Amino acid sequence: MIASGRTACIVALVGVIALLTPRSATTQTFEVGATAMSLRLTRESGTTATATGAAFGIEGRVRVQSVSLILRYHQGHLTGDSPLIDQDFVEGEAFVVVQPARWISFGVGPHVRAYVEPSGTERWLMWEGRLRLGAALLPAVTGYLEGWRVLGADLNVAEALDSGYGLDGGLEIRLSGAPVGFLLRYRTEHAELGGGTRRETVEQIALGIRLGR
Amino acid sequence: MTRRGLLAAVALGVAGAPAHAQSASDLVASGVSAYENLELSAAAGLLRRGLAAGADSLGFRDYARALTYLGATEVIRGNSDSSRAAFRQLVRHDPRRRLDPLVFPPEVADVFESVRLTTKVALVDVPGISEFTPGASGFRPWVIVSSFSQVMASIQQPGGTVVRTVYDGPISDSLRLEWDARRPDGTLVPSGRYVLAVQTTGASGAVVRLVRVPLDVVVIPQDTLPHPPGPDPGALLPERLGSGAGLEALIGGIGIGAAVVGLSSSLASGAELTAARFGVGGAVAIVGFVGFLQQRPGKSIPDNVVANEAVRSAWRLRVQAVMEENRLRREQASVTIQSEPVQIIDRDR
Repeated sequence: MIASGRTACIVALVGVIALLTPRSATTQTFEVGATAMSLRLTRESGTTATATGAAFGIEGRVRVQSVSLILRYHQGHLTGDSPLIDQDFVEGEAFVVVQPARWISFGVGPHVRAYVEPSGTERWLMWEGRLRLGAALLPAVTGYLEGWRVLGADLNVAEALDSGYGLDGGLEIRLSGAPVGFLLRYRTEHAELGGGTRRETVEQIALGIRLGR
Repeated sequence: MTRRGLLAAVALGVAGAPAHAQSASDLVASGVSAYENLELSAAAGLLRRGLAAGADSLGFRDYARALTYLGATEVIRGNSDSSRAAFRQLVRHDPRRRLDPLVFPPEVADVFESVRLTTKVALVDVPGISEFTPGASGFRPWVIVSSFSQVMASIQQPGGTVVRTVYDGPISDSLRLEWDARRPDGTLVPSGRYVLAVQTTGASGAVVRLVRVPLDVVVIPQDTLPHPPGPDPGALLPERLGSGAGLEALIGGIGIGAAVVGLSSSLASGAELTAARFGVGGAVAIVGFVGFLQQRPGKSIPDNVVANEAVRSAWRLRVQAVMEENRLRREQASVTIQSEPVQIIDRDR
C-alpha cells in the first residue's frame, strides 16, 4: 500500500502551483470528445497471460485560465487467454491540471479501473500525480508526453499495490479556428502488486475526436 | 492796458492760429469771386497767394479748387503755359478731377482735357487695416488714374525685390486690386514689412509717377498637427521565423517519439508490448521533422507580412490625412495688413 501522505503533498503542490500561476487574461474553454481504443492487458502472476479487446469512451475538459478539470471514461471487453478469462473493462479518470506555461502542466486526481468477471468485480482506485510536456510540432499539431506515478491506491484484491506508473504520448490536432480536433494516443501503464508476485501492464492505442474551443 | 483792450488782445490770441489758414481759404474764395467778375489779374494774384499756403494748409478740396480756377483764369488770359502748369498740378493733385462744363467755358475744358490726357498719374487708395483669410479675401487697394495709363502694381520687399506682381496692364479709369498675401507659387509670405509700389508709365515709356505704400504684414498661420509616429516595431509581428518554432518541432517531435518507444519498453520491463508504440512514436517524430522543415529559421511568414502591411498602410493613411489637414490649416492663416501713409514720387516734375 502506497503511503497516502505523499498524495496529500502532491495535491498541495499542485494547489500552490495553481495559485502562483499568473492570470493575465480570463480564458475559458470547454471540450468534449469520444475515444476508440485497442486494449491489451498482460498479467504476470507465475504465468504470463494476455487479454485484448476494444473500448469506447468519452472525455471532457473544462479550462478556466490555467486550471483545467479533465474527466475520462471508457469501457470495453477483453478476450483473454487462459488463465485470464473474458471480462469487461471499465476505467475512469478525474484530474485537476495546472498549466503554468504552454509546454508543461501538472495534474493530480483519482484513476479508477474495474475488471468485471462472472465471479466478481476487481476494483482499483489509484491516486496519481502527472507531469505533461508539450511541443508545437506544426501550427495545428501538438505532440505531448505525459508520465505519471501512483501516489496512493485502494484495491479490493488480495495483493497490495507496490508501485504503479504510466506513460502517455501522442499527437493532438487542432486546425486553426476549427471547433473540432483529433487525437492519436499511445499509453502504457504498469503496476506491481504483492511484493512482485503480480505484475500487470495495460497498453492502449487510441483515436479520438474532440469538439469545443 | 484797459480792460477792453485786454479782452481784445486775448480774443486775437485765441483766434490767431486758424487765422492764417482761414485767410488762405479766404484768398481762394476771393480769387474765385474775382474770376467770376472777370477781374482776371486780381483773380490770378489772389489764387496764387492762396496756393502758396500749400495743400496741407488749404485742404485737399480748396487746393484743387484754387488750381482749377487758376488754370481757367490763365486760359482766358491767354497764358497757355501757366494754365497748363496749373492744370498739370491739378491732375497730379486729384487725378479724378473733371471740369464742370456748366461752370467753365469750352476752351478751358479743352485745355484741361488735353493736359489730363497727357499727364499720366495714378493715385492709390488703401484701407488702413485689412484683416482677411487668404483664399476668402485679400488686401484690396484701389488704383485711380488721371487718364488711360499703363500701370504696374507690385508687392515688394523694402529693398525693392518684387514679391508678387499684382497687376501689369492698362487702366482707363480705376481698378480694384487684390493681393492674398501669397507669392506666385501659392505660398504665404512671412510676416514683415513690404511695399505696395504702383508705377504709372507715360507715353514715352518712362515712369511718370511712383506711388509707394509701406505695408506692415502679419501672417498668423494655424498650428499644424504633428505627423503620427510610425508603427511601433515592437507591435509588428515577426515577418520571418526565428529558430524557436523549428527547433521546438524538431526536438519535441524526436524527443517525444523516442520517449514513447524507449520509455514504454523500459517502463513495462518484462512485458511484451505491441508494435503500436513504434507507429505512434514514429508518427510524432515524423510530424516534428516536417514541422521543422515548415518552420525552419528565416522562413517568411506570409500572414504576418500581410498583417504588418495592413498596419503600415493604416499609418500611411493617417499621415496623408494629417498632411491634408495641415494643408488646409496653412490655407486658413489669418493675415493682417496695416498701411502706412502713401508716398508719391513724380519723375517729370
